[in-house]
Amino acid sequence: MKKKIFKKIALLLLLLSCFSAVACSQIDKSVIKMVDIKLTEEEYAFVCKKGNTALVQSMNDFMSEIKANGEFDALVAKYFKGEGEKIGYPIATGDVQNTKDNFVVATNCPFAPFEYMENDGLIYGLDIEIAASYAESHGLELVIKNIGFNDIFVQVDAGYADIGMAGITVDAEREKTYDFTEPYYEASQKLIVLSGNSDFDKCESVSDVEAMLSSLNGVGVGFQSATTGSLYICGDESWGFEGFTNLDGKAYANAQVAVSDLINGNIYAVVLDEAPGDAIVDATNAASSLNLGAKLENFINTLSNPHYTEILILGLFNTVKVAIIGLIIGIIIGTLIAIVRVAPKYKIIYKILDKVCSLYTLIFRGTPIVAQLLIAYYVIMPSIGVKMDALTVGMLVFGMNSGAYVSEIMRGGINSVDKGQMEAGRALGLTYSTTMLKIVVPQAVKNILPTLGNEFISLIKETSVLSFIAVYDLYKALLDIGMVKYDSMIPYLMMGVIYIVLVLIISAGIKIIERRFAKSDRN
Amino acid sequence: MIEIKKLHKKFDGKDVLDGINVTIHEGEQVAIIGPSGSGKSTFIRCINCLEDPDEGIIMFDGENIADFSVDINVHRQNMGMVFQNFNLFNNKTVLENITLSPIHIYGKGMKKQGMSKKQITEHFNAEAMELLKRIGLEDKADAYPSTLSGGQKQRIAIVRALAMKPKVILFDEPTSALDPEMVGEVLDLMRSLAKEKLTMVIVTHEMGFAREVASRVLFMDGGNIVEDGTPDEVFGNPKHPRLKEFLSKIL
Repeated sequence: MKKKIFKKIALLLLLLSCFSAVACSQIDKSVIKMVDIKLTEEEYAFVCKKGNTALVQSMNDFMSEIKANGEFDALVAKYFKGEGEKIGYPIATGDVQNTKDNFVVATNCPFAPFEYMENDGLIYGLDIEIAASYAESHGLELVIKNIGFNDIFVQVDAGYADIGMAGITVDAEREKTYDFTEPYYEASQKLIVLSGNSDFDKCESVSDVEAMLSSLNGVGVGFQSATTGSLYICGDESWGFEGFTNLDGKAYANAQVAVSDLINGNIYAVVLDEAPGDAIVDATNAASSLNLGAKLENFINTLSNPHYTEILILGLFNTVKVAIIGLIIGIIIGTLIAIVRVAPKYKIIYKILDKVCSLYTLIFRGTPIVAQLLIAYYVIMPSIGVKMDALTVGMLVFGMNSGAYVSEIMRGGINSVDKGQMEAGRALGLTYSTTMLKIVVPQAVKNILPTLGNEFISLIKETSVLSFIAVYDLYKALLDIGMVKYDSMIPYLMMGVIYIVLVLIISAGIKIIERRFAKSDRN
Repeated sequence: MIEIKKLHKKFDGKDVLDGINVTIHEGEQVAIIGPSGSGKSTFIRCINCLEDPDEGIIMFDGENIADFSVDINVHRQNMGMVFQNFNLFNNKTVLENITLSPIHIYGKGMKKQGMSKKQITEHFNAEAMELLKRIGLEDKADAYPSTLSGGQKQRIAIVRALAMKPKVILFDEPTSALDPEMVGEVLDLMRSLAKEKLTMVIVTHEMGFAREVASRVLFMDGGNIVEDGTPDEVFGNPKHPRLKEFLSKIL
């Protein structure tokens, strides 16, 4: 049995290395460049929950103070000119409650030099050091959450984070829903294209670039979702951007993915903030000239750092934990629902319960699990005032979702058990529920074991959406590892391998359990 | 002991039981015979409400158990049932099949009197082993039902019913699903129960057995009892033309 699994895994790895060798050779070696013309004028500030004037005021006072005493200028010099020693801070990977004793900062890496990760697994950047300095001077514990750019706003609004510090541009629309501190940095958007692209070589001003963009037809232009770049391409009234209806705007979760797509030839250009754009162009050019061996070495180097080993193990652990606990909750809920649904409907209470159960099944089977996670974590929990960490919410949602599916599986299982079993139990004076739980359900479980195994496998794979509520799962861990060196090829492939290995292990486990069941009951 | 009045049961609007009136007394062994489709099985399944009667009264232990407000589970403890297809619990050993219900139901009261869970289990295990010895299957105590022959299964199903110490046992064609060579062992066990004056209601096709063992025979046809008497009367001197026809066909 074990040998068989190892054989499968070995075969898989072999296939994968062949594939990656081919993939690598196909990647265009051409690198990228930035068109050095400022497309917009904008300002960065920190974002707080609407109405949190105390924090806005306190942060403004703090910023004036460090601007007056030269600390701010020193930080800018450090990150834009490389003067002085940078200080890194750990990222919160576990679940942290937002309390009055800590200062929870939501940010989005990589956005150098405002926030980015180094090989040591720590987070660096102008925003980060300002946050650290603020926390220290106010006697608060600093907690840094690295999440999606969109999620920063949601988390601040829901109270899971105190403040968003991620090179966030002040804009009129955002000001309607959130409170901004005083701006601390003037920025602009710039265009990134492939190095071989000479379309913009003769451009001298913004209008030249815009004329060039307007002359293109149907090409894709990428940007980070919810950033000024997206407004610039798609148009925005309050900013006075006319937008480019001739271009096909594509939103990406982060700058790196957008740039990868540019390199792969899927889009024509990327619009990015100037400073992080510079950093990503340099890093990408360095990474794309690497061959497979160097990429692998890069990956292994990153992983050999204890921090990244830790987040990979944490991610793996969370993925397995959510799937297992989710399945257990699912089996319990599913069994109860199935029992209600097959029960004879003499009593009014069973009729009501039956309606409730079918509504439950409809809701959980009729909506994607991402929607359930987002609603539970960002809408229900804050509005009923329950403080629950994201991992627990994840396990509950996966359990409840799985319950809906297991109930249908279990119903089939119960119906497959001979009716005589129930009659015999009832004829002996046992109640309906006792007979169900002691006699019928155990036999039903035996019948549906292979199907339950499938449910477990799909749960393991679906856990990859946990990153939507900022839980470190396998997917999020490998995504982060890819961000370090701006090269995601090996991490993504590893992600696939780890999931398949997990699924193989589960399949083997199910077979063992099935065999054990068969032993106790020759049938 | 069981007093049945105007019992009606419909399936899909068709009368299967058409107003049955009968009283079964303590210590009687009542055999129910009749052509297939005459409602025998439905009738016996209505007696312990496995099929809910649509109309009528079933008085047992001073209560009308056809009434939904009565806790039927309590009355079923005193009213064992043996099925055509044995219906042993497939996921339980032979011993567990016999002890499950007593431990679960009678064990509760014993626990209140201060007995430990282990003592209760041991008590009922010992009782079950006695019953298994009686049928010579004590060596099968830890076997699963799927490893047993039909005759063994049915004898275990009978002692499973006995373990609840019921006042009456209902038998629904207990030998119909058996291979011919196994019918004898099951009938022998039922014969010995009859000798102990256990109250029994038996739906059967074994006319010889009915004639020999039963103290009273009911002949059913078209959802009602059309002849009711001692075996000698029913088999020796049939009155109703349907009974005459039935007997002439099978004897």
